Amino acid sequence: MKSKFILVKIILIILIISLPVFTLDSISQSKNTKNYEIKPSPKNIRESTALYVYLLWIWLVIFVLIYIFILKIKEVDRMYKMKFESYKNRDRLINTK
Amino acid sequence: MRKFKDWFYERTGFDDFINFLKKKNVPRHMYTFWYYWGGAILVLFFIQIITGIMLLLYYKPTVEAAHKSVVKIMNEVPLGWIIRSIHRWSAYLMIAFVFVHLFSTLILKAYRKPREITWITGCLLFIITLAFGFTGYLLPWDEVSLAATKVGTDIPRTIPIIGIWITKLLRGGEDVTEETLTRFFAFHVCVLPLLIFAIIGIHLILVQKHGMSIPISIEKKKNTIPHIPFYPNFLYREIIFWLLIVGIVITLAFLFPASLGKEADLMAPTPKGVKPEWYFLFLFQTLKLFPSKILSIPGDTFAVLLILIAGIIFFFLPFLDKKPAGKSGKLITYFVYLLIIYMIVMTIWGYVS
Repeated sequence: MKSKFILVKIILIILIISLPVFTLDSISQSKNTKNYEIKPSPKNIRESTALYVYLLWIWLVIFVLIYIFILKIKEVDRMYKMKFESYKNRDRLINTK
Repeated sequence: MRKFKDWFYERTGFDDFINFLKKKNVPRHMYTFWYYWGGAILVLFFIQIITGIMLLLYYKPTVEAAHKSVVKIMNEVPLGWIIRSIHRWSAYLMIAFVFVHLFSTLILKAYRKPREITWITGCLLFIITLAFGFTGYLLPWDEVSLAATKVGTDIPRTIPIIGIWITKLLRGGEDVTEETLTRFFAFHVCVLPLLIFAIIGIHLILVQKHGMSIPISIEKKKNTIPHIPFYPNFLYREIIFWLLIVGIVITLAFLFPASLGKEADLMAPTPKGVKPEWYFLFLFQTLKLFPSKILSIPGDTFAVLLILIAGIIFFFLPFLDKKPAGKSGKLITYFVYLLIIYMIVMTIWGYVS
């Protein structure tokens, strides 16, 4: 189970690094420096597509990571519950009265 | 790997820290969601540090070069425009989250005994966060930021006796000049980070010491409240929240990148309709509501003094609301809701007017 997680993590890191990040660098830039407001924006359809693809990619990575963490939470909660019920660990309950 | 781990733990005692986190408990109830906001603010603060250092490599804090260096960051530096946009949006979200954290603490009465100093350090962090925003706003040295700084640094002048001194201290003279830019830069990258690190340290130690505050309604309902270990159960949940925040910051930075106005001209007249950043708008709009004179006191002096008194009451609230932790204190809750509504209405009004 642990090795699977490591594999998924490595794949994710490779996917992130392999992104065509540098296509984004060309986005922006009107060269006026003194008299007008400079607002970065895609110059053409290729750049705006690159931007949306990159965003989509980021959210995909985030959702995969969230999914992994949800699985991990379920696992640690289950383990904690088992330990808690078997040992009757009353320290985890705080008496408020 | 295991050998390295053992070597590292033996020398640093890091395993003691992990064991401490495993023993630390977090109450689990319907308001647990509000426990995530402090950690989220820390994540945004770290994004600020990383992007801030990246910007610092290219930024030049002089009147001649400040605007040009920001233009260079946006036009020539690889991915510079994204870094600047992320810096700005994470700052906005950090300030918004500080407001949420503050109000949730107020509504859940988490400031009461024994957490008075935690509250005070939290208030100091709130002020420092706003100061970060205020000083950082001038650094691009564009027309709007110069005008907003002129207005902002002029407000303390209305305070009797010490007001003029505060304005001079902020500006480094009578007017906003290169001295002001140098001072704001020094505050933004040196003084405020040192202060915030020290106070965050105290705040975190106090949070560890007293644990998470349990809301009154939950305490009343149950004799015993279930807890989960901070590490890993709560931390994994926090990481999910952090991932969402990182996603939101990047999305906002891409879709609404930070723009840059015309280069500031010290000799040019102040443009009309200058407004401060959104988090100061409610104060700005409040100041505009006051007439020119109230009881022979200038209206703006009256308003600033009133805001200052409100701030002092807010700061020392745990010493004024001394009810035992179990008492609800509904009056304060209603007042906080009213304050939130007032701030939202004033911000919208200030934005559209």
